[in-house]
Amino acid sequence: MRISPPQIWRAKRSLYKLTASKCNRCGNVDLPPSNFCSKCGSSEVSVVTLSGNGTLLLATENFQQRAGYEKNMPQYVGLIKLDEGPEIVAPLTDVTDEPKEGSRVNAVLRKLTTDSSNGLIEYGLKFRVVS
Amino acid sequence: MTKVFITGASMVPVNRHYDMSLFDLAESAFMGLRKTVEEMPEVDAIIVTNSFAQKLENQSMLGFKLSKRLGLSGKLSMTVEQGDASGGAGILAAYSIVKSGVARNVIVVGLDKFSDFPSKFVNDAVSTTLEDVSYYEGLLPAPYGALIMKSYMRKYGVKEDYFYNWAIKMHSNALENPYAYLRFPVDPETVRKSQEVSTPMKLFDIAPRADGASSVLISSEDFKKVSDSPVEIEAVEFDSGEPTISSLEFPLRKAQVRGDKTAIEISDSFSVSAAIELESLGLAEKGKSLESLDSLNVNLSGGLKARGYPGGATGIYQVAEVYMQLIDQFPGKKARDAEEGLVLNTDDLLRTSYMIYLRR
Repeated sequence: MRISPPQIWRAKRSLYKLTASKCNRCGNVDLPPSNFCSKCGSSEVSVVTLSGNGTLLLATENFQQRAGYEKNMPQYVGLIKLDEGPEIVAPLTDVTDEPKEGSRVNAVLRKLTTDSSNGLIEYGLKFRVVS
Repeated sequence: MTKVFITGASMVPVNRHYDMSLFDLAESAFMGLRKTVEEMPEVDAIIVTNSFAQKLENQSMLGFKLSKRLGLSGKLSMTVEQGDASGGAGILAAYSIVKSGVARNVIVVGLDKFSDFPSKFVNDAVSTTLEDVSYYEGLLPAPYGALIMKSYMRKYGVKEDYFYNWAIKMHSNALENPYAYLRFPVDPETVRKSQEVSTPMKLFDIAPRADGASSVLISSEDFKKVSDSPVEIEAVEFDSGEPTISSLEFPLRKAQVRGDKTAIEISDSFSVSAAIELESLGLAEKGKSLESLDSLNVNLSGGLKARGYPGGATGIYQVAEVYMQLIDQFPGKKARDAEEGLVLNTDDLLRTSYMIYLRR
């Protein structure tokens, strides 16, 4: 068995919506969220749900296979500047040609992989070009 | 506190060792060390540096198991893991326990094995160094490397062929190194025509993972006579942080060395990593590092690109290579006029870095 339901369930704050932690002291935004700020170490952090909107800074078309994710190949991966500030690397979806840098993107829920031994499906966020 | 020395080193050639297990590789490295050190002192501790054996070889507790197999039962033993920077972390651990007097002689064994499974499974294992969510999303390190390369190309206005220089240089260095994995020369055409891995990154922009084991003996000042030519570990520095790809900010420090007088081994997981490291260390001009490689004694082993990339063993290979350079026993290309050495061991995406300063 490759997919563990409790593992995926625990990651729901990041897999199903974009949850981050914002430091009340220095303003740094951490993704995935943590109870401690990665910049200043403060434990005074608030959990924030991000809009999922951002700008595509750079993109790459990846041909390297990873076990369990062969069906998505080849796959575009983007460097995305989220509207709330953080820069993340995430898979892109619904793209056939190299997406334009500077495009607006938003997060959408997609099937990530399935576990062939028991039929479990793993869902998570990918980014779609909106304009 | 005592000074700390490297008093012996050995390596197994990096390769696809289908006929050797993790333990066979480690025993072979240790046998090499025993042959090098004429009179092996009493060893107080063994530190194993490894990153992917739990996933790829179904083995954990390597420190304990190797202590038994190498005849060091009952000695302090542990495994150190920090991805592909495990070797640097293990050297820091060994240096610290010798410096503090907890141990006088420590064996560090770097060990990893990748060739038992096809690459898509190896890629799955190396993706475990990503944040859990990124791992679940199906990401892997190569597209991160490609985005870093693209960001570098954008910032400095260079084309893909700028990076060819690295592969060509590394393969030319590895030709003379009997421990290297890819001992064949390449020309710009070979690199240009190589398979696309993650645009714009090609196969020859990526270091090949392969099996390896290397070991070094680290001793306190009282035991430096174990070797005719001990090499001092002057300092071990560490830095870490989350890189910013768009602005090319990485947790790498400027090195306190003279480029032309130092034998240097850096962690070129991707060609662009080599460029960023040389520039951050202050050894080359930003955006131009890969154009002026001839003036530096850098990666005379062939680097991760051509000596090969043995995961958590990499840092121990680098230290062994620089040590051999400084005592004039490296069997490959020689460092000219090198009196000191520098090892930069990082993980594959430059999130953590260990800098090890060596002096003859």
